Amino acid sequence: MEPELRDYVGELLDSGTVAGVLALKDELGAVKPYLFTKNNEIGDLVLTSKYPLASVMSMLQKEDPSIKLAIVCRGCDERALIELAKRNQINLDNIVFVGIPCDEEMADKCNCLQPYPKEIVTGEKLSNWVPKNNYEDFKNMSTEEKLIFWKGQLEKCNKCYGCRNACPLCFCSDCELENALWVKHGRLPPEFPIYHVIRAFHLAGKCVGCGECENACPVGIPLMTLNHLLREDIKDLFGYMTGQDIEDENPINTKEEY
Amino acid sequence: MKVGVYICHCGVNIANMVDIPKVVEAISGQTNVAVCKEYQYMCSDPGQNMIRKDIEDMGLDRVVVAACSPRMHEPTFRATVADAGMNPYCFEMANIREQCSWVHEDKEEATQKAIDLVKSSVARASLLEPLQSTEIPVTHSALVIGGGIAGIQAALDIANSGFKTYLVEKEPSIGGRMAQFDKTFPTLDCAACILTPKMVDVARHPNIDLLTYSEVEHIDGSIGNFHVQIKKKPRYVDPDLCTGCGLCAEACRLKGRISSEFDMGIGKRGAIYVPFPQAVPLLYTIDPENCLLLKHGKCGKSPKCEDICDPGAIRFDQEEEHIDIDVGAIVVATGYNEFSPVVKEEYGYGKFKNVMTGLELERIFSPSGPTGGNPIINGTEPKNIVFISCVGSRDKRIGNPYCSRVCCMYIAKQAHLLKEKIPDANITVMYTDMRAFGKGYEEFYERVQKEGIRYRRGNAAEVYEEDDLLFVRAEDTLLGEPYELPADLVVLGTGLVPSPDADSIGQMLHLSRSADKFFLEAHPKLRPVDTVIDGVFLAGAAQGPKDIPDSVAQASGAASHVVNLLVKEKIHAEPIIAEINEDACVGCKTCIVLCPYEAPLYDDEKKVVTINRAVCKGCGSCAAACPSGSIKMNHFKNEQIVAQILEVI
Ligand SMILES: Cc1cc2nc3c(=O)[nH]c(=O)nc-3n(C[C@H](O)[C@H](O)[C@H](O)COP(=O)(O)OP(=O)(O)OC[C@H]3O[C@@H](n4cnc5c(N)ncnc54)[C@H](O)[C@@H]3O)c2cc1C
Ligand code: SF4
Ligand code: SF4
Ligand code: SF4
Ligand code: SF4
Ligand code: SF4
Repeated sequence: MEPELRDYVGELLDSGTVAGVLALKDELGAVKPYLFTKNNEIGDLVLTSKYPLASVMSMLQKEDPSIKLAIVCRGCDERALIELAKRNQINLDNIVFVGIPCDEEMADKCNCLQPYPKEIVTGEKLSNWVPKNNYEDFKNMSTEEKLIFWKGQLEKCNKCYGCRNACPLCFCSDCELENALWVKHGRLPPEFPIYHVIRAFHLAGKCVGCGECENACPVGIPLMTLNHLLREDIKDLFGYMTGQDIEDENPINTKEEY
Repeated sequence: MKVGVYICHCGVNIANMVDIPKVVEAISGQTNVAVCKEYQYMCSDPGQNMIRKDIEDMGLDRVVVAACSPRMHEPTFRATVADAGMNPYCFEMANIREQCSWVHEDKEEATQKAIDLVKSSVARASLLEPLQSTEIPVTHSALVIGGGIAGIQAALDIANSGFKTYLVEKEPSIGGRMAQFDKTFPTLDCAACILTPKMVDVARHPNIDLLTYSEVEHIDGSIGNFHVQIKKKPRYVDPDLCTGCGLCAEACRLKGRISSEFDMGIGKRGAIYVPFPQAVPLLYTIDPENCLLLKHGKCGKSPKCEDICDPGAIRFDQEEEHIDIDVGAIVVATGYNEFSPVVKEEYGYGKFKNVMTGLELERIFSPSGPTGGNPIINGTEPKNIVFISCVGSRDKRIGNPYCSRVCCMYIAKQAHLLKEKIPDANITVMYTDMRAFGKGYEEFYERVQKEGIRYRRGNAAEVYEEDDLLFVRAEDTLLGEPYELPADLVVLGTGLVPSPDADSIGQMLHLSRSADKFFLEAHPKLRPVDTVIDGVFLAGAAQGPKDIPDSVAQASGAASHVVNLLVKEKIHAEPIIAEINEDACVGCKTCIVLCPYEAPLYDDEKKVVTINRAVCKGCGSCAAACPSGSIKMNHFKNEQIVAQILEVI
């Protein structure tokens, strides 16, 4: 997959279609986000890991709103870009999507619902893919058990803000998680459950299920359980799935016309 | 910080269920509380004086009154504390009547709840910040939308008070529905005789700028300063040259070929026309949908109207005009439309030509109407006439549960007029209930019954045709028996629905609608001419089905509210509005989507949102949704609300 992708991306640069390509670069084993601007660097472009590239794209655009860039994106990256665009954080007109599907190993690791973008440049999307974990164990718990479960899990939180920092949809410059009115400063673990409830509520209708928060969490809190249930609710209540189409109206941010 | 707390007995309203001395005891000595007193009626003069005196003597800087709902007396006490030199926004009210004494039965528990509520108000009051209202200059002119009897009356009243008034009417003439009637219930006044003089007054009034054949395209701004864009449609006739002689209409090649809207499609007109002889302004208008020249580029060798018009008033090159005006207040008087009975298939409207609606029949009575006022329906004089009431009203099945209020009476009027013109006619009114609520209405109904019009209770089930004869099947609910009547004319007592323009006008002005889809007044009893949008008022059938007297009365009411506003040089803008912390805003536009009033504006340069202070109503929708917490609601800051909550949990 990588060689074809490198050809494709090289062509985008050579033809002047874009000024740069945002992707991952392998620098002596360190895989990091990188803006490729020259064809001769393309050899270092890799697909071996995953990174919240949408946030990086948003930052690049904020620095230079007119610049046209391509992004090598997985399903979750594409969904994040679309949700960001709905919130005026990114301009899709200046982005060329270079979509790639995730392989089974990656999709399994993320327990991803949709491990591919809308359009794929190279590679095969997994057919008939269904994630293995459907959170039945959690759903089967009684309310009391759920409370005990979350109390236990959230007591581990060391308020590192890693979940928020990694999240592509947490784009606020002033974050309510740092507002002492809600989350007392200098207290560990944060008061149950406000910290995580604020984040969950703020991500309702926004979370694209990329799993970056859970990946980032140093103490292994199963944040994706919360996110998964939230996404299910948004779908059941409003028929809304995040990141599908820029035209779909986000149900949380609409008002009823009477 | 010195908080004064005053507990009201409200006579026995509160004191019966709340142990007031106990509340005073619990509150005295609380943090920041400088004094806590009780009194029979805090809103009375002595009660208010007590507060004023304490502010002056003790230097209180916060005041809490525990009494009734703030909707009731918050304005009273704000004025009281302001009188004594305290900032009115440092006043806080605890509701221990509606939310406590009135809804509880256990005195001990009610007392404890009252204590909690007062403590919670003290906590909030301690965090209140003084706010200053801003002054907004007022543009001394008004816009009236809709030139029916309501709009006409409102415009005349405002103009007579000395203010410039723009009256916008979408049709070629003002007059509205009333101009279509010959006689009006219950007095049988000639409609034209009482309406035409008013229409002429409008046209001649030095303070009225009449914009007919015009539509409101866009409105922004707010109370005191609305900016309005109006589209003036081309008439293709020069208003300064047209003398209203009507030779053009006589000459038009399409004369008598186009169905006349004013005559409800029964009468015919040409492509150049005036809707009716008393039209104001008396200016001819070319209908571009039908005019041969405008539609096909060719009208014989040359357009006949142009040939015959001596003053040369025909102007095929006339273009749409856009006019910008500034006004301080707006009256919405867009009136109603007749319910379209096509959906009531059982009555055969549109299928049988002798089934007609109330408004259609009005045109038959008019001396200038399609039959010259003679009761001729499709060529013959009807002898067996049936009226069916409540068509499209009080009908849950079609979604119109409301009563249209005028149908019972216009049916009585029309039955009377038919009986007068055709004395040997058999006239039956099939009615649901008789509603003759107005002055002189019951008397008129009695008179009509005495004239030999039969009223049978129970609504019609079906109209059907057999051997070219119509029959109406109904059930007499008083006798409890079904019956059928032959009919050569069936008149449907069609109800009233809002003007279709209510949608666009409502959106432009952010007006709310009630369940019946008419415009919603600010309060059903106490503010029937106001809307929730300051500076926008309602008149006539736009607000709900109404007869002419009520439309005129409401119009005068709306006009007086407009004048109350326009006489002021400046108005005070409420400081309880949203404020944005531009440093924290990430420009996600969530607030823009949610604000019902278009108050948040996106600043393209700074990539953040700012709030239009004059437009924001302080509803708080934006602040609740802003993810980054960048919006602060004055007077309802998070800290203030949290402090209040913490005291009761
Ligand atoms: C069949 C029938 C008979 C009736 N007989 C009587 C009677 O005998 N006595 C009585 O008291 N009442 C009678 N009524 C009731 C009477 O018609 C109303 O009370 C009256 O017409 C209400 O006046 P209005 O000005 O509110 O509305 P309307 O008369 O509907 O006038 C509204 C005006 O606004 C204009 N307009 C609408 N939208 C716009 C827009 N967007 N921009 C600009 N202009 C716009 C319309 O063109 C119209 O000129 C009768 C009603 C019916 C249906
Ligand atoms: S999965 Fe986590 S990181 Fe990804 S969008 Fe949802 S909340 Fe943000
Ligand atoms: S948690 Fe909420 S406030 Fe904080 S960055 Fe995420 S969306 Fe913004
Ligand atoms: S990443 Fe984990 S530990 Fe860090 S704040 Fe989030 S939940 Fe808490
Ligand atoms: S919702 Fe908040 S962050 Fe978003 S644009 Fe409005 S003020 Fe700014
Ligand atoms: S408080 Fe209400 S009216 Fe004011 S800007 Fe926010 S949403 Fe709009």
